[in-house]
Formats: sequence, structure tokens, C-alpha cells
Amino acid sequence: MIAITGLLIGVALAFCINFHIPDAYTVYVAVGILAALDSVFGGIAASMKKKFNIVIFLTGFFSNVLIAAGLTYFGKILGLDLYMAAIIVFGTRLFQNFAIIRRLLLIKLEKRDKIYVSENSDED
Amino acid sequence: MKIKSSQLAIGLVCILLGFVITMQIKSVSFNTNRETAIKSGNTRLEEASSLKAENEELKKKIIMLEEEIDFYNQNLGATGDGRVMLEQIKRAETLAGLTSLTGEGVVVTMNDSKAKGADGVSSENYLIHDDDVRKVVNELFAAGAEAISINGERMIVTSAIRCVGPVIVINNNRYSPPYVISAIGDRKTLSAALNQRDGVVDTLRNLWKIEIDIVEKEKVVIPRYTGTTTFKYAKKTAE
Repeated sequence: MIAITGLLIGVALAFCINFHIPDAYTVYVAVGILAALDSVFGGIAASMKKKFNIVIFLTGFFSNVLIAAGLTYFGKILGLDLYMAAIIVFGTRLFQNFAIIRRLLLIKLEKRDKIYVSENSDED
Repeated sequence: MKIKSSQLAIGLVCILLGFVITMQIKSVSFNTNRETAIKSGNTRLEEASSLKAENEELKKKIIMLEEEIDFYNQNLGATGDGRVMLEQIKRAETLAGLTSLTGEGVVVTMNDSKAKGADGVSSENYLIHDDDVRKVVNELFAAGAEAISINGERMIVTSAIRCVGPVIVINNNRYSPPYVISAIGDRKTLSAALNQRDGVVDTLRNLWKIEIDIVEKEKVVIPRYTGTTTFKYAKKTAE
């Protein structure tokens, strides 16, 4: 679908451009990626529950990234590894979203089987 | 197919995500590679400088030990047998290049050509190469030179003259032009040998305009050889 093509386009673009993120900023980008992944999988789970809202998705995406990066920077100047909090929270939510998606997928497959069976039994 | 704005937004977000993740992975691997390269470079530099310092210390030790040997040799030379042995040692040292010598001779100074190259000829030909220096040294030995030094490096039996990029390595030390070659011998013979028609100087100076300057002198001082002198492979044959 459009998500996968988007990803592939992004990956291809990154290979074309000959730029490297400077060593000092890689922490922020890494934490930002974790936050982004969390909101993406949250969006996937929401769309499977038919509760997807584009505005919530987009605002959640960018605000998560900004907050995560901001927390990391704040932690750096305070001298405390605050980025750990972001890792734990977003990591936990990733696992939760994976579980939700898995469950929803299984329910979908079950329903499909049930419909098939009930249609067959109507033919008597 | 009408594209919903939400689909577009998701597409753009995915492009951004794919881009940033790939960029991050590339950058991290690039940065770690660079770090390890820099670290290994630094350790090499440290190793090299500590080895150089060790080298200097050992060279000083050698000089001290040689002075001790000289002292014992003097005592040796007092008795008859001892004197003969001492003469043999001195003769061997002179031939081996371990003593500095003085006498009449020539001083040859070579420098890269300052002329502009002819079209189509590589500019390398206007620079001094190791074989140019070797030709001069060879000619001098052939004309009877008894001792030769290049930029203070004494030529001994195992001396090599090699090109390494833009500099020449003599006795494992690097030198760049100008090259000052001193030789002890009959000064008229030595300079005549170099100045022969179609000889070394003729070719280098007239063909490639390499600067060669030959000065005959009444007193030329040639320093002793200061490198290592141990043989690892050569052993004395049974006579």
C-alpha cells in the first residue's frame, strides 16, 4: 500500500544523498525515530480498530518526536540520561501496539473463517 | 483513483520515516568507522614516536659504548701484539666507513632543474631521481674515490639510494634536494671523470638542465656512518 511505497521511496532517497548526520546529533535522531515508530504503529492499530484520525496521527507523530528530542537535550544539560525515559515509554508502547495489532489480525482471520462456514451451512 | 488527503499524509510521513532511519543507520556506521580509523591512526603515531625516542636513546648508548671500546683499544695498543691488532681494527673501521675521514676531493651539488618543461615531456624528467644520484656516486667510485657521503650520509658497502615519492631515502633517512655529494680522492681525476663528454654531468645538465655544480677542494671532510651495523644472515665462511 501507500505506506510501504513511501518507506521505499524514503530509503532510496537516503541512499542517493551523500550526507551524514554529524556524530553529536545522532542521539537526538535515534530517539526521534523511536518516537516516530511508536506513533506509526499506534496509527496502524487505530486504523485496524477503524478509529484512525489523521489529525491525531499527524499531531501525535510530530509532537512525540519533538518531545523525545527535547527530553534528550534537557537531560544532557541537566546531566541526567533522560532519554532513557523516552526509550522505556516508547519501547513499552511499541510492544503494546504490536500485541493489539496481532490480536486484531487474528480476530479478522477468525471472522473470515466464521463467515465462510456460516455461508456454507445456509445451503440446506 | 482519488487520493484522500489522509493517504497522502501517511505517504509523506512514511517517506520521511524511511529517509531518516536509513540516514541514521548510514551515519552511525560511518561515524564509528571513522572513529576506529582515527584511533588506530593515533596509536600508530604514538607507537612511531615512542620507537623514535627509544632509537635516540639507543644511539646515545652506542656512542658511549664506542668510547669505552676506544679506551680499551688504546690500552691494547701499548704492547706489540696489541698494536698489530689495533692497526687491523683501525684499518677495518676505515674501510667499513666507521671513521670520519678528510682529504682532497670534490663536492658535487645537485638540484632540481628550474627550466620549464618542453611540451609533451613529463615534468618528472626535470627532477632528480635516485638513479641520477647513483650515477654520480658510481662515476666517482670508478674514478678512484676513497670515501663518499651524500648530505652527510656516508656510503658504506650496504648503502642504498632509493626514491620514495618526492624525496630520496639514503641509509634509511629521507633527504630532499639539494643533494651535496662529497668525495675524497684525486680532485682533478674525480671532476674530469664527471665532466666527460656524454658523461653523467653532460647528460643531466645539457639534456634535462638539472643543476650540477662541481667544486674541487683541498680539504673535504666526510663523516662516519651512523646507522646500524649488525648482520643477521651473513656469516663468516670457513677458510
